[in-house]
Amino acid sequence: MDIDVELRGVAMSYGATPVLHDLDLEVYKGEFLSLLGPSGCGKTTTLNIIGGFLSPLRGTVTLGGRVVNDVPPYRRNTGMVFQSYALFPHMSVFDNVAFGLKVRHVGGADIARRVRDALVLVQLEGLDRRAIRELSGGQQQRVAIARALAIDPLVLLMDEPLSNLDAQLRRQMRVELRRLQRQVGITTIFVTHDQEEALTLSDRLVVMNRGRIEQAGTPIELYRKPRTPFVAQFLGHPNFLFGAVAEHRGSDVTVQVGPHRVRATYEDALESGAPVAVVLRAESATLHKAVPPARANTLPGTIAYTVYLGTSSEYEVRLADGIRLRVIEQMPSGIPSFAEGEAVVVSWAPEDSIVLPGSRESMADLVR
Amino acid sequence: MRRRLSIGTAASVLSILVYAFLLAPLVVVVLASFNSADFLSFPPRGFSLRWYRALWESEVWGDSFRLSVLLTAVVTPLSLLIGTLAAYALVRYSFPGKGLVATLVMAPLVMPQIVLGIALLNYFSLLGLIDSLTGLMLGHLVVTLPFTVRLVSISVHNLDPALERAAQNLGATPLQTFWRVTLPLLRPGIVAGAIFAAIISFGELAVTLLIAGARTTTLPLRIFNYTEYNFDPTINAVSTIFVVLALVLIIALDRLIGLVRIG
Amino acid sequence: MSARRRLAVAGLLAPAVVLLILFFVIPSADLFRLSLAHMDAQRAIHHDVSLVNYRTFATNPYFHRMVWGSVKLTVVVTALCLLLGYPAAYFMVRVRSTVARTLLYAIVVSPLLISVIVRSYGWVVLLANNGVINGTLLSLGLIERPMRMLGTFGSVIVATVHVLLPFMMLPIASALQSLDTVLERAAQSLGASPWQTFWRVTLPLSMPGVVAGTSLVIALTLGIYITPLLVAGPLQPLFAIGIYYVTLSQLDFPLGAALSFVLLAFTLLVIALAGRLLKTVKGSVT
Repeated sequence: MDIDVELRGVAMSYGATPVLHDLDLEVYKGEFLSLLGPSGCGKTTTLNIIGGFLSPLRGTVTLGGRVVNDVPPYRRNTGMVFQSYALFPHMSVFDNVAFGLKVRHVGGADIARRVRDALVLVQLEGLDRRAIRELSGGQQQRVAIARALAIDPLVLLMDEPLSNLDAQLRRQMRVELRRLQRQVGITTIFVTHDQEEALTLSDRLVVMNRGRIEQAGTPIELYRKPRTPFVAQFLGHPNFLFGAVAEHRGSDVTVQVGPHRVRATYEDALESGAPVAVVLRAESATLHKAVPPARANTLPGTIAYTVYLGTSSEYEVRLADGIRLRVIEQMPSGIPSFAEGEAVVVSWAPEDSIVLPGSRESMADLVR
Repeated sequence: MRRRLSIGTAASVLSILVYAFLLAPLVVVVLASFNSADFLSFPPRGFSLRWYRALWESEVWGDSFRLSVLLTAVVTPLSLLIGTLAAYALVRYSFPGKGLVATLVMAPLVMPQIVLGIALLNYFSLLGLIDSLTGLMLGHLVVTLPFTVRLVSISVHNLDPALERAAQNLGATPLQTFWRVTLPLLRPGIVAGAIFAAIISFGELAVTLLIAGARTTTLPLRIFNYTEYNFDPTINAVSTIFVVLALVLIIALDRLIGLVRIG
Repeated sequence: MSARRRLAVAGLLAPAVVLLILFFVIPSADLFRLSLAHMDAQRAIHHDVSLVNYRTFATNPYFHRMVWGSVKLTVVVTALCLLLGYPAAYFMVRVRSTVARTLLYAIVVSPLLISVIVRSYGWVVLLANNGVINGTLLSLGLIERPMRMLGTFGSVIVATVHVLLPFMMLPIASALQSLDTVLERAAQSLGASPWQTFWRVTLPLSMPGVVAGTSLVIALTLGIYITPLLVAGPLQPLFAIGIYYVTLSQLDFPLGAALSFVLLAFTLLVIALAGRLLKTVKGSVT
């Protein structure tokens, strides 16, 4: 597959503070790639380096096959959508979208056509004469996207473009954005700190932490097979059960977690007695009033508290030895099944959990 | 980016020249005040404080200096008092004719200084206030009032009315509230207003030139007379005092309200 | 509003209002009355209402020269302040170090705190025949005779630009400061070169500051008199100097009053037009 954007060995510092360490990244033609991570992880810095607003300390930036380290931002042909949209307040919608074309000295008739096409794409046709201040937040965001697309860029760079929208609008725009990207087929790099957003939108996902890439892959890969504790705790609502390897046969592992023996799966080699964490996502566990038949992992406990979320409920279950587990259950009827103080059994299938080598101490800063 | 466009560099060079231009006459005067020669020469002949000594010993310059300080010391608190009361009323309350009053208060700024000077010259001669301290004081009050009102208004604007309501809710009378809550919180604006009123009054010439006389020769007026009619290098020393004063005030202003906000 | 509140407001405003009515409004009104009087050849003033002074202004070529001189000065000074002040303001706002920026602001603001006489006198020191510039050029052997700089229109321009430059720079700097730099980034990301970015985004958005600064400089140049007086003498063809001369040398107060009101009218016109323009410009950039 063609690689549209490539970063090799990119490092960056702000003054004496390093913010990116030796980053290697490939973005394939036509894909929707998200850079996901907490604030300060370096994702926006990476985006700005690709856009040409920051010069990396080391490493090469390649766009469409050519090295662009020395190319200023106005010659890189990347279309950027800023978090605050950065629409020009002194220009109409039309002039904003036409801006990139005007500075490239595109002819008048072509400008009109391309602006119209861009506005049709974002479903804002007919609004070209409006002033920016007359538009709603959602409309402004679409104009920002249309403006970036109008120049027919090599790659679309989006810096948390949905974070200024309210929750409802955000969900709508997510769908819009995906449809748009598929329709145009443009390579897109999307920066966000919202994992739900990244999981829904992306073809591929890059999780970053403290200036390094923790893991890159498809949303399913990252969700089901996180390779580092950081990625595991960043996606979904994980429970970390710390223990030691009791048995390991083939891909079946038995881990001693306190007084409990828990079954899981793990492909690679593991030493007997090695410390591991069994990561159980809150969404992967189920609650029962009594021990269910033929279930691999079952742990009895009591409901410590419940949080009603409408279509789902979140429960905290306290096990006999004090371990607390978070479990999220979907409730189509809207009526919670369990009450506080009730005795329940938590169960899950061995293949629904993830084994990560490492001790409790080594993951202390990631786990609550 | 790393590359510098030639237009950008040219503009930067021009800018630096502009800043040098702004400093030039001031730097020259300060340097000349330490010149041991009694005529203008550049580079200066030698370092000497003779002009400062001459200034110190001079009766006429001493008189003018004392007069200017006295005038400023009287005008500043008065201007502040009148201005603060007016600023508070204008920002806090709405009333019929508010626009008119606001315009009136700012009007002296809009009038060319010579026109104001001529008007006061005519008016004060009818009242017998020419060449009088009272006349000067009134003239300076009119000139400084727009500044004290404007600067204190900014502080009044930033003052949360809820604080005054809280004070009254806790039992303070309006007067107590004003004294214990409002006034202390207006301090930045009041201090800025005081600084501006003082420096404007101290350096005022456009109106003073027309209404002062031999008995009321303020410091700027004496400099003007000396420059017009005879030449005395002591002027350099006097001017340097103005420059030093301005530097001190700049530092004070920066500490208090942050220079960058004045623009 | 309760009666008590009304009393309080009146009390707060009274000192300012009384002061200004007594020593600003009434003197101005009286000046206008004076402008309608006229002085005869024996220096006696007749307080009959007539427009003879205004007619003198309209017909006497001396005053036409003054008006023309002021117009010339205003155009040149405003243009220079704009061409020099804008880049300098931009430089100051965009300089990276806060220390440097504060220093530059200090350089711009401090002249405003120094009496105009000191600033103008500084130019006398620089431009005099035995002044600093001539002295340096002579000692370097670049000229044989001192150049006459004081007393020329050029010296008035230079000194006036110096005095008024901060009034152009501060509003522009303020406008540039409130400009979000992300807009310039956006323009660059769309392909605009630095010059295109400046021309199409930065400059238009800083227009309110430019209009404010320009109108301030124009209004102030129209009425300037101490600086040109000091640097070029009372015979310079400038409006305010003409007023000064007519009133204090020729002692023709009625004529001086009439001229004053003509100047006031022009100044108010400039300010009113500027205010209107500012509103339109502001509306299109917010």
